[in-house]
Amino acid sequence: MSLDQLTNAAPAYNFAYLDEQTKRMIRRAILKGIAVPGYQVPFAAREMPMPYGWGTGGVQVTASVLGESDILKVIDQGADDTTNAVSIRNFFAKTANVELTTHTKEATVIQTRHRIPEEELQAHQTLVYQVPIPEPLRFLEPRETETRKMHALSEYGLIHVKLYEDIATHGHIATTYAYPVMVEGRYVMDPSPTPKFDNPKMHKSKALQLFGAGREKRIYALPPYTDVVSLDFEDHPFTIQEWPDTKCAMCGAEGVYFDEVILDDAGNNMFVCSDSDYCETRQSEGHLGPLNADYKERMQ
Amino acid sequence: MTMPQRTIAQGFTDLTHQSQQSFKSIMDAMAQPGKIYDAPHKVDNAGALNPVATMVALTLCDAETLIYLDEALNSAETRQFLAFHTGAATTSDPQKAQFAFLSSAEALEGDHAFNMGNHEYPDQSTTVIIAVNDLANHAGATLSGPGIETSRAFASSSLSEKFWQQAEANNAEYPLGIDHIFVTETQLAALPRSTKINLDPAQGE
Repeated sequence: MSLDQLTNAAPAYNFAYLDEQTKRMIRRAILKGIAVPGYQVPFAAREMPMPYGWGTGGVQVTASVLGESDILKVIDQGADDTTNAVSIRNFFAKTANVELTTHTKEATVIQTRHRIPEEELQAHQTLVYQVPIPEPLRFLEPRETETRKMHALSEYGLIHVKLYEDIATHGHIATTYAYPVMVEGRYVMDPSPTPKFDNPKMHKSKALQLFGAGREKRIYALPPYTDVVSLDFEDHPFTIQEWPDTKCAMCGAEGVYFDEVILDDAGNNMFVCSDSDYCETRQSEGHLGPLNADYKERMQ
Repeated sequence: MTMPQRTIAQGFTDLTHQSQQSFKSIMDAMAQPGKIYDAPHKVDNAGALNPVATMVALTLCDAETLIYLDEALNSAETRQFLAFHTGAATTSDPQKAQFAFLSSAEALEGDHAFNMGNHEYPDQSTTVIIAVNDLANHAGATLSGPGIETSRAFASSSLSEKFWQQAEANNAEYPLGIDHIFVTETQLAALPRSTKINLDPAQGE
């Protein structure tokens, strides 16, 4: 991207693309979402200049909270450099002319598709999730009228049965992403399809978390320090993914969320941090993994 | 016949960015109940509305919302200002109002008639903006719940014990309830329905 593109917002658009009336409507929904954490507030999602499934909900929420002085980071599965993240970043560069970053620490607004950065988020930051299916009960009960009643009555037996069936079939809870959570003991919420590895980071996070589902036209929110508990059973407690004895091949990190990369036709593989900023920051601080080009040099 | 001449005061001078900055302060206030924020924009001369209440109205109200004004605020000047700048109509029915602007918390003492939402759509409730003389983070009520790490002291000399009892009852109805935004001449703070209220035990006994 040229500097020229970055510094010249397209004059034909209102700041951050959306018109002011739409932003007001979305802002009102965000306030309701914050007042009732985990409850899905219906909103009149607009057509965006990108297809559904590309984060139109998250983009609308980001457009409604973003200000001139904000610094925006966009990630897709933890990475700043994948297609979805790059195109959304370019979208806001063009329509809002805001400062962009890939560094988690520097960002004030972070839009994410399915990961929470490894670096702990702080109170001045806002995390915006792109959500495909906001309703955690949808695959168990297709009728909106029914799921709405189930939330109204806090009737969540069905989702426990689903988790129990996992145990009956597989011997353990086999749900690994979009793992349902209970918010403040009242609403069961879909944490968006983040790996369950990230669920504990939602609990009492210092940052405000906003969720936008464009196609399904729902917004929900978690204020800072909100109780977010992953559903489980006493004898089958919630656990997160672990990679024992695995280090990031590039930065040597342990205990982070890994991507597996196949290296050749013989099936050789390596594991690297899914959070590209975390990995790059560690490498720049001198942490090196065994497959890093500088590693052998260092060892000699 | 001569009509009385009245000039409508100016609203935001930069609608896009002033709305965003104002919304950011309202959003942060709602996300951290009881925390006091300086209003980024104060809009004067909107009839009987105070400058921060006016900021809230300009940020959140439009032709899709109905506004309730209590008796002290319900002047022709206020209505004209709101109609001109936001396009929002006013209603005398508190049940129908998305936003209610009150000159004091008195209207909320005891049973009030504002919309609490319903169990299937708790978001269809009234957000109440209340003018107060002062806001402080000491003594008074102890707040806890979403948005608050452990607890936060919160008080205003304009909020009576009767108001706090109502606010406790409001929280007991969660997820139904009204959300409060308190506004002084320069500051704002919020009390959403999700906030648990502990009145000073010394006062209760």
